[in-house]
Order: sequence, then structure tokens, then C-alpha cells
Amino acid sequence: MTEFWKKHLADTITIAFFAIAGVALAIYAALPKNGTYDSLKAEITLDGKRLEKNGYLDLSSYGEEETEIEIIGKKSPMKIGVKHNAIHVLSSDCPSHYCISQGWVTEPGVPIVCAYNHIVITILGTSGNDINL
Amino acid sequence: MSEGKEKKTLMEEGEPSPKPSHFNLHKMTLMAILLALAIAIGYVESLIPSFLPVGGVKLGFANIIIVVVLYELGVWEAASIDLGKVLVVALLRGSFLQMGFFMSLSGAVVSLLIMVLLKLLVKPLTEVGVSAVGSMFHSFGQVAVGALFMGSGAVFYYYCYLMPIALATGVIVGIAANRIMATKVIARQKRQYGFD
Amino acid sequence: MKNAKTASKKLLVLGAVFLLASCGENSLSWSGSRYYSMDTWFTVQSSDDGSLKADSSALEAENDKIGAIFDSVYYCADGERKHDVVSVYDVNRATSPIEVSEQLYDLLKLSLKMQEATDGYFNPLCGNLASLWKKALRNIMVDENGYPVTDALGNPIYDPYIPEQGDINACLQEIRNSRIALSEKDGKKYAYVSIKDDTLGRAKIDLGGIAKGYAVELANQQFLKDGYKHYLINGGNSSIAFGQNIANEGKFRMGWTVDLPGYHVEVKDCIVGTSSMTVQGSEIDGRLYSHIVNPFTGEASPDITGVTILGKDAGILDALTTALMWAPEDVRAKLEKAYDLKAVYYKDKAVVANHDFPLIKND
Repeated sequence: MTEFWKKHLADTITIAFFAIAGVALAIYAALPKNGTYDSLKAEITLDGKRLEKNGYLDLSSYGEEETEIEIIGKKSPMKIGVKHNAIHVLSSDCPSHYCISQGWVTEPGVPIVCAYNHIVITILGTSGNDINL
Repeated sequence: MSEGKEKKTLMEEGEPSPKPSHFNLHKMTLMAILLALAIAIGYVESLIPSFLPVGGVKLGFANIIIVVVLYELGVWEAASIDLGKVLVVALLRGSFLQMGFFMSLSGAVVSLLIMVLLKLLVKPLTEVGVSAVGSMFHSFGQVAVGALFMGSGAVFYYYCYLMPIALATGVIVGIAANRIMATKVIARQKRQYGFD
Repeated sequence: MKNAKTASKKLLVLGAVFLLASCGENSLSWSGSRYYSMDTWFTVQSSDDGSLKADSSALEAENDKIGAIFDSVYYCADGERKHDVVSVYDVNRATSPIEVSEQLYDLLKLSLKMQEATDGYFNPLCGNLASLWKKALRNIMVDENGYPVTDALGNPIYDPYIPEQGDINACLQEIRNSRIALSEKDGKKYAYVSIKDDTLGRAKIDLGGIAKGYAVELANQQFLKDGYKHYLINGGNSSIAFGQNIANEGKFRMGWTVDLPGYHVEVKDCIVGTSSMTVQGSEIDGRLYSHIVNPFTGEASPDITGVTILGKDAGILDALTTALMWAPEDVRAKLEKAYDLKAVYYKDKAVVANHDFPLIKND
């Protein structure tokens, strides 16, 4: 058995390094930010360009009840649901519906992507701020 | 008498081959079989629904063949099989020249480059380590092109989840390649039919 | 080989330590609530300070107290709806003194004090003028039959316009003609809007520019009185009372997503007030208009996009931010000195003037 490990020592070190880095990355991504309640803003882009209508939403101005917002994607219209500091896709005519199954997003950096419609919804990075005016 | 002579391998004769080895018919046949195998695995993989909304990110077990070919047959051989697989699978799936095709293409190119570099420059690494790193760069290349198409860097967020998975499959692929190479199935072909 | 083996073992241990360290240790955690009041959301965060040994039900009770404060101010400061208690709505309709609550009296008194302190740039009698502008800026486009014109998705299209100068002048005349009259008798408090000339109209009280801050300050005092150290009270983003954060050495990091994207500040134990046109402004011919009006000229498009100030007493600061939008340089300087303010004025996503505001550039 030691013969095997000798031969694969470099492999083991490399894999261990990337494993630790990868796990740290995944934990960091999944960690709920220990921040305060924020006034989050969401941006909706089509092919990277912000939508003229409803492309920039102040999520803190919505209440606990969900509000429906309509947007037009590249291939079909989509319905977006927003409530206080949270956003998700309600309906879309894309074939896979991953965007809908992703559910509510409440933090900056996590995108909702509808590849079919070339739509990306991101909650804007707060640059680590606790409060955004 | 001449028949017998022709049947002998070039290595026994000790003479250099009159033809360049990449035109060797047996090698071509072998590569064709391997390519078909890679396409078959790749196609079946493409049928498994991706659990991420960005399509085109697949498991990558076809890379077992790529890695074995890289170590046993050479760089150009591995590259041609990999790229040929990407092309044919895209044609079969009808996603040729669409976003998914370019993502797979970019992933293949990036991972091939890094694997070749590692194999040449980092001698202590065996096929296991090379395949592991290649796999992570493969998904990186895919996500990068996906981000380009979406016009948004936000897609890189998915890489946080892709990377550990890519690492794991890369290790499995590497170990599988290791086991296959240990059976010397291709090495025997090489010796028998005289290509290198 | 042994060396390499131990080397990789050390690497693994290092990695594990790194992971554990990044989890961070925090014995405190936030508990929060939100209240809808005065047409905006108030967000309150507080934490049970370990030294108080408060449990979560004590925190809940405290948050209930805070919620009651917001409701109380809302009911008496509301000028648009009738409530069970005497409110601004009633005072506006009175032609002679009517009895008001201690709190409403206190709020009106503060408004008068701020009107004087800001040389009239904060004026609580701008009710009609603000309504005139609100109606004009939220105007919906209609077709010949009077039906709203809609866009591709069926939403109405806004067609803001500038009100007639005649209407603006009428409002200004009302303002000049009116005065908030406060009186006390036998321990009871009375208020109404008195006018000089019966033919020139009566202005309406609008406490929108001070009520939120006043409520936030009351909540702030409540927390301090009950011994809470870690809290944050955010009144619609325009009036924020900062206690201490539970991390980051007690400081909160605050930025402006739209108004000043490249900067942030680190604050604690202070009040921050903001007036900005970005979220509620309407654009007409390239200029931004909102209902933050100039009480002297009736204009609604100031030279700056907004102002943020740092100081004490949220009620005072709320009135000050309104005044600072229109006040000229000398009045601004006078107010900054009188109330020991740090102020930053901005326009088009850039700083126009920074008076001691501790801005930090983002990296």
C-alpha cells in the first residue's frame, strides 16, 4: 500500500489542496451573511444590459405580501415575484424551469438565471454594507 | 517468405518505420473505436438533466478515454478525440453552434491545455492528479463561456458548487484511467501494431 | 518521503484551522422586526446584550414597545386619514383651537422650533404645496376618452408635469397667510392653524418631513433607557438611529447604492438622516423633481440630488435634511455649526460638498 501512496504523493497533495479550497469556497458561498437587515436592490439584465422597465428594483420598498412584476425576456415574457428583500421567478415559458425551481433569493451575489430568455436577476452587491441608502 | 517478414513488428526488426506513425492504419482504427466510445459515453451523459439552470454542464466520464489516450498515445491524439467527441455529441443533440456547444468546447480546450502542461512540467503528478485538475478547469471553462453568453459574471457563483464536484469526478476519472492503463490494453496494441 | 507525508498532513491541519476560524464566534445575534407606518417601513434590529441577561421574550417585549411608539406617532401625525385620536387631519380642519395630545403638541412644537432654526427652509405648513406636486408628478397618461394609456405589458404610463404657476402661487400665499398656533390652558394642549386674512386661504400642516425622525428618536431613547446597547432603527432609510453593531467593533457599515456608489462610512451610536430624490423623483425634461419643495418659491427641483447628515436627535435631523436640500450656503453652514453636523451633499453620483463627513472610499 505504501508503494501506491509513494507513487501518488503529488496527486494527493494537489487534490487535498483543491479539496480544502473547494470546501472553503462552498462554505463561504452558503454561509448566511451575519449582516443586518438591508435595503437590497435587485437588477434584471437581458444579455447583460439592464432592462428599461423593471430592470432596477428596490426590494426594501415591498412588504411581506408578494407583488408580481412582469418583464419581457428574449424569447418569452416572465413573471417575477418580489417581497421585502426577496425575489424569485413566478412563471416563464422556458423549457427547463430551473429559474422557477430555484425559489426565493434573499442575498446579494446569488443569481437567478433563465438561459432560455437570456435573463439574469441579481441582488446587487452591498459591498459588505450593513445599510444601503 | 516476404509475407512472414511483413508480419513482424518494426520494433523487433530494429528498423525505423518507413511511414510516420500517425498514419498507421491500426492506430487509426483504435482511435476511431475510442472516439466512438467517447461519443457514446458523452451522448448518454448529455441526456442526464443538469441540476443547474445553466445547461451544458455534464459529468465528464468520457474523459477517462481522453486521459488514457493522453498518456498512452499522445497530445494530438487526445486533443482530436476530445474535440471530435464535443463536435459529434453536439451534432447528435442538436445543440451545435448554440451556447451549450461553445461551453463544452471551451471546457475541453481549457482542460486539455492544463493537463498537457501539468503532464509536461509537473513530473511527480500522475494521471490521477492531472485528471483532477483538468476536470476543475473543464467546468471553469464551461462556466466562463456561460458567463460570457449571459453577459453577467453572476454565473460564476455556480462555480462554487461545481468545483468540488468536478474535483471528485476528476479523481474518479483519474483512478479509472489508472486502472485501465494498468491492464496495458493499449500498450499491447502499440507494441503489436507498431505505433508510438 | 516522510517529510512530504508530514508536510501534507500539516497542510490538512492548516486547512481545518482556517475553516474553523472563518466561522467566527458571536455570542450575540440579531433579532428584528418590521413595522409599516407613515407610508414606509421601519426596521428595528436589537440584540440581547449578554450583560443584561435578557432572554428573547424580553427582546420581544421591547420590540412591542417600539412598535407602539411608531403607531402612536403615526396616528397623531397623519394628515390624510381620520383616526380615533386627534391627528393632523383634524388640526388642519379646525378653525379655532382644538385639544391635542401631549405627543402631537410636542411634535408641532418641535416643528415650529425647526422652522425658526432653519430660517423657514423647513416649513411644516407645506401640505397643500406638497400635494400639488405629488398629484402632478404621479400623473397618469390618459387617452381622449379618459382611459389610462398602457404599455406593452398593460401598465399605465406616467406623464409627470409641472403644476401651473398660478396654483403654486396660491399655495405660497396660503403658507404666508398661515401660522401654527399652539396654546396651553389648565394643563391641556391646544392647536390649530390660524390665518391673517380670511380671503387668502389656510395652509395645511404636513409633518412628513419630521414625523419619521421624531418616531425614530423616541424609539432610540426607549432603547437607551432600557439599557440596550446593540440596536439599529431604520425609518424608511431616511432616518436611521445606530446603536452598536454586534461585530466589526460595534460599527455599522453604511453605503449609498445609487447616490454615491463608491463610498461608505463606519458609524455607531449616532443618527443619520438622508433626503434624496433618486428613489421617488420624477424626471421632466432632464431634471429630477420630487415633493421636497422650496417653501419660499414653490420649486421642486433642487440643485443637488440629495444630502446625508450625521448628528444627534433623529427628529431634528429629519427636519434639517429637508431644509438643507434648499438652503443656501450660508444657512447650511449655520445649521451645520449650530447642530454639530457632519454633512455630505451629492449630485449625479458624485460628491458636491463634504463638510466633515467621514467618507471612506470602497476598494
